[in-house]
Amino acid sequence: MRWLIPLLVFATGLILGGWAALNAVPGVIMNKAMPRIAATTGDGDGAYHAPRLREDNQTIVRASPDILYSVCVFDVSERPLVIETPWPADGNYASVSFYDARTNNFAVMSDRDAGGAASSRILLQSDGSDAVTPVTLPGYDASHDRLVLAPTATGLVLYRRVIDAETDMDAVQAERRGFVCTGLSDR
Amino acid sequence: MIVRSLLAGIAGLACGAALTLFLVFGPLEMGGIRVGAWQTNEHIGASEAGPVVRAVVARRGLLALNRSETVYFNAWQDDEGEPLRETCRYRISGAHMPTRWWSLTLYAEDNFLPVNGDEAHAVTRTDLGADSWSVIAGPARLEDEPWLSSRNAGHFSITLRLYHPEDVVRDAPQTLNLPSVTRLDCGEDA
Repeated sequence: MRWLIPLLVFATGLILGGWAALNAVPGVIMNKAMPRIAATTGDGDGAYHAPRLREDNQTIVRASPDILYSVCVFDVSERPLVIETPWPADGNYASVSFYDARTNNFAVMSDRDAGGAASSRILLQSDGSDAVTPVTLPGYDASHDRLVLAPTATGLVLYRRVIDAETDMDAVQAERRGFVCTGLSDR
Repeated sequence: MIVRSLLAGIAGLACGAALTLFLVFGPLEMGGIRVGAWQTNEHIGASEAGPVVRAVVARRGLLALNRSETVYFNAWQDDEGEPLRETCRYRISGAHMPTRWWSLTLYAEDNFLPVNGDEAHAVTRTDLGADSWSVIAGPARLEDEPWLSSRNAGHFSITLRLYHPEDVVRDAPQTLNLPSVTRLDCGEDA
């Protein structure tokens, strides 16, 4: 009895400590990644167009050298974000994926969803915020534009674009400059 | 008794957290479905992923896509269940896969591309063709064969990415005819 209660308390602490650490890991890793990326994008809303992945410029584990990555850090606590994205003219795969502050991939739009359009606009706003509907965007076209609700106020938007041995790299680099993230009130 | 219990509780919390961090940043794998040498987890990138998968993915594959876009298969072992080693040579052979496009990328033990100057980290369907193909993974190029360099990679792994996979990839991955990973030779024989 003298040791039974402390042992039970230890076991309970062991489980609680493990559970808390397990749930904290994704947020901690994301919170380390976001400021690093935000620092490269200037004001935090602009897009960072990462150079093609090489062995000497890696920052994220298990990234793909066959993908060009562009990224925006978002904070939609005060204003929605408009993401403009080009789709590959050469027919290769591209997508825009959204990650919340706990690393969940809560939404994705790819070239296949764009119905053959050359580009799309995506309005990102906080889930549960006052309604800012896509129709507030001039020229909104539901066939290739989207509304996305973010479950957390902060996170990342990642543009991926496949490149291969037949890709015209100069054309693709120019094309992906069309991936931009702008606060709605800035427009 | 109260002091002893309090100290036990604090020690328990600290040990639990430390043990978890050791496992997540150490030997804990993603688990999931095994198909030959390949392993995949249906919860990668998904909001419904449990805390273990989410934590391991955050460490091993941060910013992974969900399975509607891309299905990831990882091989840490060859077809015989032996860990992949940089001093061995392997032939990876495959055929048509039900997907829009695919790529194979070799990662070093630290989950980054191996730093070796060989510029042979990945091959794709564009490089190898959509039908029957093979590639060598090893520390040195073998004649004119397509090559993934494992030099300086330690106990490496290979990731197979299937972009815009057909439904069968998500619904019945066990039925897929995924590439074989055959060890050819090791060490001084390599």
